[in-house]
Amino acid sequence: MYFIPNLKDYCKTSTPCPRFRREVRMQGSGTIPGNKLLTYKGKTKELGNCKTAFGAAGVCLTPYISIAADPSKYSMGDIIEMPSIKGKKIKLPDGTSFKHPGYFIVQDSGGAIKGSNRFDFFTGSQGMYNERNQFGVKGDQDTQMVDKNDCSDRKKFTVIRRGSANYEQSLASINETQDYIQSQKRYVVASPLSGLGEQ
Amino acid sequence: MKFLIMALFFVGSTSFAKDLGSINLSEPPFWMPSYDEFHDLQGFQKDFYLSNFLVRVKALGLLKSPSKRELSEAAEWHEAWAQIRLQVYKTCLDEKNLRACEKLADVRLKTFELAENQKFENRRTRGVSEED
Repeated sequence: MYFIPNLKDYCKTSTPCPRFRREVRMQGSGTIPGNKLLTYKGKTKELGNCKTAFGAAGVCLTPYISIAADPSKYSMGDIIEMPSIKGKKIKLPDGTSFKHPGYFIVQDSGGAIKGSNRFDFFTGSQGMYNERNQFGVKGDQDTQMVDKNDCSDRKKFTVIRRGSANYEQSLASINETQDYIQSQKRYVVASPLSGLGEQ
Repeated sequence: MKFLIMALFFVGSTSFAKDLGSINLSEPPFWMPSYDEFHDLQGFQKDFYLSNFLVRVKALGLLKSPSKRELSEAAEWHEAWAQIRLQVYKTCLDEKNLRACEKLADVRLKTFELAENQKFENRRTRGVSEED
């Protein structure tokens, strides 16, 4: 599981505070005012139309939908179907929610994500211990993804390869969910009321 | 005109069609990105891929290695990209080309690395020092 910390959740002013910088160093980057990304190297990058970050695939990441996988095993855009998560209510930090389509899409990679059965779930601006992280340790038991050793039935998945017969249908379902989230125009920008809750 | 040039470049490539059945482009190994996968990349990733592809593909011994111009045009045209990709995949069926194919596949992986998640665990695995 990985996330991109948002300065608003860590600092009282718009200047990166030590706590936020520490988290950026751990997570690799963090979002700062002006729709920019602060990297662990201290550089800033424009986020363009993205609210969170770009992944290795070059497209914007969507919380609870985008995942990182090993690109030697998966194409960017491959879809992972996990029936157990379908229809589960996912609450975003601003209080709005959506029903999970039961699909994840490979849009990122990471040095530590190796092999066919390893995925890293993008959870927006919420870390593993944040109570608002639906996949985190404080999330519902049905939606927790945090335990690497948990290989229970609910984590069973099938791969829908980009370009395969049923790909477009699955992608349409993901797009529908993304459109729904965007239509609320709240996405995963931390609410001012969200407090300084990151652990 | 552009169409004519590309059409001439790929004259004779229809023989690849018969090999299509034995090659599953959606499954690993991914010697080369699909057009859609390439098309989604950020500009700096595309530049990196195209320049390194040209270097690596020469070692592959394709019947007709694409020139820089041909590759740039293919980067904007689905059909032309697919033809080059199929030519690469067909060449990579031959085990004697495996090493060169793996180096070509590495270009794709390195392209993703440029924009991948950089959390500490990932950096550590890649051996990235904190000063880099």
